[in-house]
Amino acid sequence: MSEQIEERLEDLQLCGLQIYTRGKASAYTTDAVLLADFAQLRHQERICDLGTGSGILPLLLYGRENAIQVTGIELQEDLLILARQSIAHNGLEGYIRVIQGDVRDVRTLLPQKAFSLVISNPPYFRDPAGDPSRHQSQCSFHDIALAAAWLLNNGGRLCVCCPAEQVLQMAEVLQERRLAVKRLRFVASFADRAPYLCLVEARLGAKEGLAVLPQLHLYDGPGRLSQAARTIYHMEQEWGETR
Amino acid sequence: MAYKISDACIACGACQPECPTEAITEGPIYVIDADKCIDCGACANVCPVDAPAPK
Repeated sequence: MSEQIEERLEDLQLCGLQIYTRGKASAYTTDAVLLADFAQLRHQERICDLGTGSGILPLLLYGRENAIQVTGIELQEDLLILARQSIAHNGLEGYIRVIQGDVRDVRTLLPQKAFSLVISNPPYFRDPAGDPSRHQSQCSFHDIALAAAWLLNNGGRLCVCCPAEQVLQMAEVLQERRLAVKRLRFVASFADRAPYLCLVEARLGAKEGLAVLPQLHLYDGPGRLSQAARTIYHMEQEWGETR
Repeated sequence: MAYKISDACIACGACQPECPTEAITEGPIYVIDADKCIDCGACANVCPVDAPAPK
């Protein structure tokens, strides 16, 4: 499918990091940038990224905090190759590693309770014949919850995102695996719009008690990225001005 | 039904990676292939000028 398409490097505009991608479109979606910002990182954190794709989340997390160890799991070999190229290109072999495997087989891939943070930008579109990175053909919210419950130490956190309208379903699935939802942030395009995305943090074995953060809106007005979004994108100037 | 990008498009490219079916192509303004569009609205969610709309 994508074999003939030429590889290129894309600059993450973060600590000089670059990522390999194929084709003209960007290597990553807005979701990944928002999720990497939403996760609270601790020093020396051991992190697992479920469905790491071309490795965008590990790179963005490393850009925020260098003293981390990230293990990414990815099913699709072509993406795994890109991720490994990016890790080598940035010289991050000591910080990020990616392994090939199915999130549903996590028990045979990685040890139990070995991580303090599990992160995932899971597929949430519903076309069973669609690209498994984006559609729930190979990996459901249930699979993510099950894998996180295996990988996390007690009190460990899971950070995921989902469409805003699926957040109750996500919370229910997490709750079944003793993952209590502790922090939510809804994301909308404009301040007066209904949110389209929800960023979710759950903690394994935690008691109830939920913090709903102020809603994030991406744009202040036509073509104007909001201050909050500019901070997340590590941008100084207004987005529209340079394009 | 499919989404269509209006001439309000500023060709910023924000929508292109969001599309789960790779239906969006680059151009003076970006264009959605109606045959590939699954009406999810992912492009509209991230558009800074509200250019994609259901048609």
